Amino acid sequence: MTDTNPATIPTFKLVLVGDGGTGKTTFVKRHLTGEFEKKYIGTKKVLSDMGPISRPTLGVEVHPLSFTTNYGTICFNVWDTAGQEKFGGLRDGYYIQGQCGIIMFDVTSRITYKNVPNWHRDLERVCENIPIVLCGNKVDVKERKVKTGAVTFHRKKNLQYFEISAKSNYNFEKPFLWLAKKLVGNPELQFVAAPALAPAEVQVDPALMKQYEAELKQACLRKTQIFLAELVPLPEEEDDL
Amino acid sequence: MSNEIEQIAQAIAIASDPAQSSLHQQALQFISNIQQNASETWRLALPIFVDRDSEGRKKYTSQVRFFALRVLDEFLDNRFDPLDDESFNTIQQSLLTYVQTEYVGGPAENDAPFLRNKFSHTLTLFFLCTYINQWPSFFDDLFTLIRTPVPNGTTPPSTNFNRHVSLLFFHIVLEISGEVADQTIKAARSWNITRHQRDGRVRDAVRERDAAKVNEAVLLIVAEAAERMVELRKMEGADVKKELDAAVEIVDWGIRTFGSYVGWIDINLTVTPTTVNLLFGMLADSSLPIRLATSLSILRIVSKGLKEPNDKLQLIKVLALGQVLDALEAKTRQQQIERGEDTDEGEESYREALGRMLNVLGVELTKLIEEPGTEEVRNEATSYLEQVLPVMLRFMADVYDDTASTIFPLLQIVLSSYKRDRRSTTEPLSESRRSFLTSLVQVILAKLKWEEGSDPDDSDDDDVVEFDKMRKDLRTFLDAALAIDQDLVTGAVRSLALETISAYRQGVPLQWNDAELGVYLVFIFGEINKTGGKGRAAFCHAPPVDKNAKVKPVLDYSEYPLTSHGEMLLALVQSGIASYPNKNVALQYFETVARYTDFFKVRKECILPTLEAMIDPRGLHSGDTSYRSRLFYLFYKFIKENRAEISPDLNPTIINNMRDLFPISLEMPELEEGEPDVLGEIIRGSNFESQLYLFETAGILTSLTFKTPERQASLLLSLVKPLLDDLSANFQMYREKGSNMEDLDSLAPIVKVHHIIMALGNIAKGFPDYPTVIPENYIMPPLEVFSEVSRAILVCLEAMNVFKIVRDATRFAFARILATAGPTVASFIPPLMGNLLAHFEPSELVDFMNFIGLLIFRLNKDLFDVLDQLIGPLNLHIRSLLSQPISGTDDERAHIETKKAYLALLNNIMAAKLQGVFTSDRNSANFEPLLKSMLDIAEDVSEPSSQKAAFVFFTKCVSCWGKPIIDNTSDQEGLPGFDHFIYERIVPLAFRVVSSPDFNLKDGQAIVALQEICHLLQAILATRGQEASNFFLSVFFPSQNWPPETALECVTKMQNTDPKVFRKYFTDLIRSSRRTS
Repeated sequence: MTDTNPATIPTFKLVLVGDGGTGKTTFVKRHLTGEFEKKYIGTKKVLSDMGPISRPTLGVEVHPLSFTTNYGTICFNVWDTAGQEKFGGLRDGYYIQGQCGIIMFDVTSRITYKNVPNWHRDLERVCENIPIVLCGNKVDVKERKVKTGAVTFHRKKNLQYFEISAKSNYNFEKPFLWLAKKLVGNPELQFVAAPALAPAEVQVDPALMKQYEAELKQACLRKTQIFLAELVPLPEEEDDL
Repeated sequence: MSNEIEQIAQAIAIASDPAQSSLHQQALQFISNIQQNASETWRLALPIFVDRDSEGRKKYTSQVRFFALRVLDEFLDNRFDPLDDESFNTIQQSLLTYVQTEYVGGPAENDAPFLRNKFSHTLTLFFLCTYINQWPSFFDDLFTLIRTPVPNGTTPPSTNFNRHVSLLFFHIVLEISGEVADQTIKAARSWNITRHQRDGRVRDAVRERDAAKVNEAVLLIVAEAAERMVELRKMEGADVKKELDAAVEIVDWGIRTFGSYVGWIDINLTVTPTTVNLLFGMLADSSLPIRLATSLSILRIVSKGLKEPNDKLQLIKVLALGQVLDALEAKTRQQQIERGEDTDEGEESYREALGRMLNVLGVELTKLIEEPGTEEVRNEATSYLEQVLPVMLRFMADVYDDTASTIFPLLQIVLSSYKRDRRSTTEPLSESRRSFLTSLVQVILAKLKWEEGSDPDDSDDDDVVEFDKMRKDLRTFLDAALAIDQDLVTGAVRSLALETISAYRQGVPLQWNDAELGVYLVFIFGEINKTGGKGRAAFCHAPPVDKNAKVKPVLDYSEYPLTSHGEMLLALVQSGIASYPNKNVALQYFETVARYTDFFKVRKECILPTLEAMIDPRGLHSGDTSYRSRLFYLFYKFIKENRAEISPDLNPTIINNMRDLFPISLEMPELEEGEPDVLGEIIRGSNFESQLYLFETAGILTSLTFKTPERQASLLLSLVKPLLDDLSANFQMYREKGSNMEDLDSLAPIVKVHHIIMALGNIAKGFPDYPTVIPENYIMPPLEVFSEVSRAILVCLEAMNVFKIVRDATRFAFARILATAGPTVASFIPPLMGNLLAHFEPSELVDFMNFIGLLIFRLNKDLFDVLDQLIGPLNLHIRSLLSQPISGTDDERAHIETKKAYLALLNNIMAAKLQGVFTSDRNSANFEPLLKSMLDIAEDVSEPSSQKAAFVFFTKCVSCWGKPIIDNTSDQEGLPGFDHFIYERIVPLAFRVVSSPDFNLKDGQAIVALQEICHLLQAILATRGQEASNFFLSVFFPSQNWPPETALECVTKMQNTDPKVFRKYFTDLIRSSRRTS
């Protein structure tokens, strides 16, 4: 695996999904070489009403993101799919042959978390049994709406969950590292060189992040209870509303 | 039509190609149109999906066929009206023929498996539209296909069921459960009453017509495959392997399917002797996926809601899950030991699943015990629960935290019910509960220990965080256990800690993780031991000191015996465990002594050995940077809290032993190219902040020598002088060489200047605050030294005020020096302000305003002139900032923060009685615009917290400028004409706000704003007296059409009542008036 010839580098198709505006494109673009080499699928046009900073992805964009591991280079072809319905293109058609996935939501917007099960179900249907990471983005924003303890979906579906902040590069590598370990089947795999990332646009507050991490762990205490609550069917009477 | 189909096929091909193509955009547009017109285009999609060419091959690529399914989904999903007969027949016929060809006799899309799942969903959507009225025989038709023998005879004759159709059937049932009964998916959909009712009807129809048949089919197919599995496992060969995998797949999906409907169909169908046998067999199967699927199914059965407690108890009895889990726990634990280092994530996840089942079983039992039911049910459930508890502790003891934590919810419930029982009885704790608690505490103590092999320094940060979290959880259980039997818990903790410490003292070999745990227990003892006293009383049994006594008796605490915790700390200090050759142990020791500083006040002889360890290579002089950084803080805390106990004669020695740590070194981090804030990034990336604690500590130690002022001055100088020399050298270097953001070396002097200014500020921070009223015989600190420091900092600022980091550091240092030296340094403020404002970034505005607030607080009237000059330009800055458009959440927050700080500053000025700056000659032209902008803020109901601050401002204005004008008096507060402003602007505004429909009385912040309005109204009455009540009664309230009696009542209350009572009255009044209007 030490080979650096692009033809022999282990490459995996990664499907990146989630509601529009959750920061999927910002996230992949942090990786500078991936940004440099990206191939466009879907013609882009600048939409005058969206401003220059963040415009919706049309259809899909594919970014090859390489990481150097202690076993050699590994590459994810990240299929950054459109989150917004009207720009969806082939939508779950892009998932075909996906080998791993990231579902992203925005911790400052409850609706994006509420939609996670839909993205998950669509992804699972097309790509059975692939490793999937759930990412809560924008944790740098202090006014978050989806608190760490409220994120429980990953417990029910055995997904890995990470809190990230694409803008500040916080935890950027974590989802990729976890997926790489799963795909290669080796928990000892580590990234040995940091990928070139775009400079952070905002700073995360380390104390705040510590608190989120602590809350995340706290949530595991409740996980079984929540799990239970979901399983118990509603009373029969409710059917006849 | 075929032409259109070809077009679609082409468009999909273009859209799916990852390479860019000029037609791409067009293709996407075309596809999107097809999708949107699904009510028409499904007629194209259907043949695309099912058509074959003359040779029987599929006509279109899997990509195109996948898209065709999407169009059909679009057409069928959320469709609540029946299809017309023609459409129904067309779709039904095509799909059935497709299943017949592709699944019964064909390869079931084995070259594009994603189509299988997609198709089962499409078929499910069709089922949802048609099952109730149009296709009631859906399942029967499916069963017929399942039993259709394979024409070519590839399936072994031993099979009665068609494999492909069986799997399709499973997937469909899973999808149906997902659509009509899965709470998670339901919550993710937007609520729709029609859909909700439809789902209910589908569930009822399935339960009525087909549930028994579906369940029977699932069980038969699984049983047959399971049997085949058993046989195949006895055989060998490549073909056998393949067939075995196929059988395993059937069982796995079959059990998942079963698990998907146990929640919504009759439990008498799903729980029978046959199913229980089958499930328990599968729970111990050699295939991991089957075991996991089975665990989930059983979990769902156990947690199924049943109306009658007795039914639930019967269910639990029938399942006899307790014994099964007991046996499986023992078996898997043995396997785990045998695996040793050779970890197996899959098997651990199975143990986790077992733990989860045990947890659910236990939780259900506790519900039966606590919910109303017969005595018999409760007793039986209690005895079942008692059997479960030992198994629960075994799961808890698992080395894998994921497994251990599965039973936490159950443990929590059990402990709180024990706690409740203890409160309601005086009986001693029963023997069985006592022994449970004893075992529990042992498990907790074992889990609190680091893994021997792991090293916190080598571990991933996440693992450390994870372990810390685990310790916290375990501690809550320890607390709960303590509430049930305090002596049992403290005894166990105390004896393990003392045993460990004395073992170390006696030279018994001790693993690092055992040693660390021993110290850690002393560290947490103060938290778990709830009955311990506060302060010194936590550590020794001294008589209570009356806090209100004028003359407090001087006690010699060394005469009094130690508490348990005191004993532990004494043993800890005497053991010398700080020398343990593992820094996690030593660090835990220092954390402990820095936490319980009051202990050292009752055993002063322990201070010196502790200080020695803290200062020598075990502590501050360790070779490990991050360890040292933490020690800087712990040392600071220890000194700060024990400063009164340390002999001032010792202080110079301590400082001398720290001197080699004072020099400030620079670390230049690696920076990204194009970093916009290079200097800020260097500061954030440095370890310098912890060093600041050293300077503050040195300041504290110096301040303690106050009784010998000369000695203090020379000690302070000895700290400050090297820093000032270094400051001057770097300043010179900067002047000679200038700076260039691309060249890190040229930035070093600037960063150094920042660090030194911060260090100087921290030395000042170690000194006590300058007293507001100077007591008799007060000995001043060496103020002239602080003046000199201030002057030096100002010189640097003047030359380097373009750098934000230098401005930031100066603000910080001056805030500290000013606190210590008071008016002595007031003369530096005008040049300081000038330089701070010479260059200015919007992001500094908030910090700057807070700084001014601090100056106002410290200097009061002495700040008048400075403020008088400052307030005009500051207003300009803020208005221009606030008038900029908001483009995103970041801007919005910056705006709010700025506004908040600005309002706080204005209110600080008013509170300090410096309001003259608003009306001075220099600023009077801005006075009216200021009032106008405050009126605007007060009117803005969208931001109640700013609104409240603006009303606070007006209240303060009324109390000074609203004062009646006394003729022929020069020095008066009242402002001519302000009474008009009150009556014409402020009062109508206040009432407009409270009656605005957007003023949300359910919002806590709005309530606070309302209370401030009450305050304002009372202030108006109090300041203007009779004139104001006349105004309200005869002018204002009549103009608002208030009934005279209400108006009178309101004014009376405003005038005479206590603010609290008036607030309540007025709030109720507003509430009721909003209801009626």
